[in-house]
Amino acid sequence: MTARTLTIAGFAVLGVVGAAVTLAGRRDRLGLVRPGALLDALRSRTPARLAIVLCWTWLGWHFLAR
Amino acid sequence: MASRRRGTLAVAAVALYATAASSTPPLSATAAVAVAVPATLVLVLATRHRAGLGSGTPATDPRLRRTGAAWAVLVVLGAALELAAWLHQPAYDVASPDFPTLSLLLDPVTDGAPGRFIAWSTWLYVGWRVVRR
Repeated sequence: MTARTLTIAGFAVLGVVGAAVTLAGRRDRLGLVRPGALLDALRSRTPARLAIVLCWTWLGWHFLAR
Repeated sequence: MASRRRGTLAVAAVALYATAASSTPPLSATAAVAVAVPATLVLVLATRHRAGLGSGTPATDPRLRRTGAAWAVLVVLGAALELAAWLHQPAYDVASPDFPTLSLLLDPVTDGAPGRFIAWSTWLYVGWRVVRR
């Protein structure tokens, strides 16, 4: 297995697990909540809200401005 | 009723802005400005302490903590993989075909007009979602 395949597989596994965590939260399974509920809880505190906004800004810069 | 109207207006604004922004050429000053404008607006709104932000879900809810831990692990692993791929590049702005970064893998999607529009809409929606009341 090449390094390229391993890297792509790593991202794919993370994507699938992320989708599974999202689905489980939406269906109230595995003791998880919706990502929106987590976001709502985090954004009620200013430091967490600012950290989220900075990550969001970086994502926009990295994927959309380049 | 008012919140539904506000939501409809926000969706329309996001769609309009995404349409205009997704037509900017990548790696251009206009694309940088198109990102900087909403980023600055969201950052300003996020720094202001406003009552009503966030939900009533208590932070001590074990389901919330479990979900937070799961996402934290995913984000840390994703960032580590991205960083490892980036460190294998021959130069900071030269991609390595053997260790592709996430942005390189998403290039076929974000290079086309529909993909760019969806990426812009998603990004703007998330920004609005973070600072909305």
